[in-house]
Amino acid sequence: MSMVLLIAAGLAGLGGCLALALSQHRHWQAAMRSSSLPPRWARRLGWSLIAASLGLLIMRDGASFAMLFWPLLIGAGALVTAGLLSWKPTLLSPLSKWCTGRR
Amino acid sequence: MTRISAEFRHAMHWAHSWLGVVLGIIMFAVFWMGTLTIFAPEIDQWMIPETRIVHQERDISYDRLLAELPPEARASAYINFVVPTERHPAIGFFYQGADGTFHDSALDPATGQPLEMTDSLAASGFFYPFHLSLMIEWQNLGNWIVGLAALAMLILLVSGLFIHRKIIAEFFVFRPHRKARRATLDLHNLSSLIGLPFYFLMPLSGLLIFAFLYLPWGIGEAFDGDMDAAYAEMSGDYAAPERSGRPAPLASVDAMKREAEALWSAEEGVPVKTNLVRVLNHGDETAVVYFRNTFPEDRVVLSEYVAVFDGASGRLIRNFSLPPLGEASAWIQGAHFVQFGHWPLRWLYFFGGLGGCVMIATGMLFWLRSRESKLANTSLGYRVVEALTIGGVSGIVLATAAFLVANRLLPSDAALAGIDRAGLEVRVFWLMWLGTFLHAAVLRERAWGQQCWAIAVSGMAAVILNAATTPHHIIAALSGGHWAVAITDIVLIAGAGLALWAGLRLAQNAEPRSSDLKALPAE
Amino acid sequence: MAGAIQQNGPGRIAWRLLAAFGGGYALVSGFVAMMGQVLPLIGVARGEAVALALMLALFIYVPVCLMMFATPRPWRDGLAVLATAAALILLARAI
Repeated sequence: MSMVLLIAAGLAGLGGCLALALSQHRHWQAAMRSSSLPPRWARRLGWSLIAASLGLLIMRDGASFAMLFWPLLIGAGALVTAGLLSWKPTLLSPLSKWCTGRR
Repeated sequence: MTRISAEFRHAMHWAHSWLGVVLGIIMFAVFWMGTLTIFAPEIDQWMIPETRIVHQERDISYDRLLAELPPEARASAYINFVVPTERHPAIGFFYQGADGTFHDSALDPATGQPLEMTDSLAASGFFYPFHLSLMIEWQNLGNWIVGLAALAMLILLVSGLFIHRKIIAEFFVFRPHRKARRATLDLHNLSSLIGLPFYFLMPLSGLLIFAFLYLPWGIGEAFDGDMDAAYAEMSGDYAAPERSGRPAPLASVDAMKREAEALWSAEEGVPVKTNLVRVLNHGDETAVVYFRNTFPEDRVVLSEYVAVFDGASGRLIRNFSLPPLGEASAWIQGAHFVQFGHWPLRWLYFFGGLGGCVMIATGMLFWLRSRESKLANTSLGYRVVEALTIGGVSGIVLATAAFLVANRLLPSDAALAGIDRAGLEVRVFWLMWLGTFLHAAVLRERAWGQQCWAIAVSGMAAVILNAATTPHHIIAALSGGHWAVAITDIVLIAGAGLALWAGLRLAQNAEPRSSDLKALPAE
Repeated sequence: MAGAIQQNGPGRIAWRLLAAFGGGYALVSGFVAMMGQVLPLIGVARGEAVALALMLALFIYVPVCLMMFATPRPWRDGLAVLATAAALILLARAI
C-alpha cells in the first residue's frame, strides 16, 4: 500500500509539473509542434495534481514527513519535465489527442 | 517582480555575484560533504569492514556490558553506549578513561566484545566533521566559516529570486544546445528553483542546530548566564554532580531502561526507544544513568525524551520531554539530520544535495563564462577563481575518491612519521585536493576533463579494491544483506559512470577560444 | 545613482558589510536576548521564548543583510541597524 501511494504521489507530481509546463505557450508549442494555444484547464489540472500529490503523501506518512517529502518530490517532477522539454518535447504530442488546443 | 526597481535588482545582482564567488567553494564543500554524510553509516561500514554486521533485533543487556567494562573505564566519569540499529548494527561504546582521555570503539552486538576496527576516521569521523567545520578546530573557526557560508547561501537564494526576471515563464526552461554561457545559466536557474525549499531549509536548520555556539550571549541572557541551565531546560541535558569518592554498586540499568521506555511510550502513545545508555560517575554513589531518544526512526522530531535515574537506587530523578516550541525547533533540526527511517526521503535528500552542488558549481561556472568574453580571462582574478572552481568542484570529488581508495590500499598497521593509519588516509585527501588546485592553475580548462577521468578511474578502483580486499564484493553484499556495502559500491559505480560521461562530453566540446569572443545573444 | 552599491567606493562597501554581518549579528543577538526576557513576563517559559526567538532569528538577519546591500543610504541605514541592536541589548539587560 505504501509503495502504491508513493508511486501515485510521484506520478501525480510529475503529471502536475507536465501540465503546468504545457500550460505555458512556449512549451505547448514546442511539444505539439504547432502554433495552437494550450488548453485553458491545463493550469488548473496541474495545480490539482500537485495538490493531490501532497494529499497522497500525507495519507502515506503523515504531515510531518510529507512537509519534507513533497517539495523534493515536486522538484524531481519539475526536473524530469524540464529534461523532457529540452531533449524530447515531441514525446508529449500524443497528449493533443485528449485536449483540443485553442486556436 | 516588475515592481522591483532596477537599482534594487542591480544591488541584488552585485551581492549575489560577490558572495557567490567569494564563498562558492566553501558552500560547495559543505554541500558535498553534507550529501555524503547522508550515507555516513553506510560509508563507515564500507571503510571499516569489521563493522559490516547484519542487524538483528536482539535484547542487549547493558548490565552485562557494564559488568565486562575494561579496567580503566570502571571509575569513569562518562560511559556512553549507543543502541544498535539497522544502519548502525554495532554497539557504540565511548568512555572517558581515568587519565581523562576519550576512547571510542564498537562492540559486537552478539557477544559484547570489542571489534578490532580498521583505523579509519571514515565518513562519521571525517566527512561529517568536515561538513560542520571544514576540519578547522581552532577556536571553532571552522564552524564560524561554515555558519557564514550558510548565512550567505540564504542571502544568495533570496537575492537570486530578485535577480531572475522570468521565474515563472522560464521555470522549466533548459537549453543545453545553446552556447555554453546560456546553457550554464539555464542549468543554474533550473537547479536552484527546483530545489529551492530544500536549499533554504538546509542552511536554516544547520544554523539552528548550532544556535548555542553562534548566539551564546543572546541565549545566556534569558538564563542569567547559566548555560548549563539553558541546556537543561531546552534540551534535557543533565549535569552530573562531582564524584563523592564513596563507591556504590549500580542498580540494574536494564530495569531503568525498561522504565524509561515505558514512560515515554505511555506519553507518546506509540513505542519509543532510547538511543543512548549513558552512565555518569560510574562506580560512585553519585552515579547517574541517562537515557535519550536522540534519533527516533518513526518521526522527524529529534531527541524529544530524556530520562535520568539515580544510579545507586534506580530511582527516576528527571523525565524530560520537549515543550511545543522546542519540539518545533527539534523538527527543523531533525529535518537536517535525516536520521529517521524513511528511505525514499533519504534518497531524495541525496539527489537534492547533489542538485545543490550543481547549483553552486554552475553559478561559479557562469561567473567565469560571463567574464571570459570580456577578454578578462587572462587577469589574475579570473585565473584564481578558475583554479579555485575546478579544484573546488571536480577536485574535492577526486580527493574524496582518493580517500576511499587509500582506505582500501593502506595496510592495517600503516604509520608514517608518527602519523597513524587514519591520519594517513586524511593526508591523502588533503594532498590530492591540493594537487587538483595546482593542476587546475596550470592546465586551466583542460583540467576539468582530466579530473573527471581521474574520478571515473578512482571510483571504479575503489569498488574493485573493496572486492579484492574484503569478502563483500557487490554480489556477495546484495545476497548477504549487507545493504550498506552494496549501496556504496553502486553509488561509486554510478558516480564513476557519470564522471566518465562528463569527461567524454568535455573532450567533445573542447572549442577553440575564438568562438567565445563572438557577440553572445542578449538574455 | 551615487548611492548604488556598484558605484560605492571600498569604504562604503566595507561599511555595508560590517553593518550587514556585524550589525545584523548584534541585532539578532539582542533580539534573542530581548525575547528571552520579555516573553517570560507574560508567562512563556524561558526555554520556549528562546527557542522561538532562535527560529525567527534568520528571518531578521537575512532581510537586514539584503537591506544593507540594496540601500542607497548605507551610512544612515547602517547606523539604524546598530542603534536597534544597541536598544534591544540594553532592553534585555535592563529586564
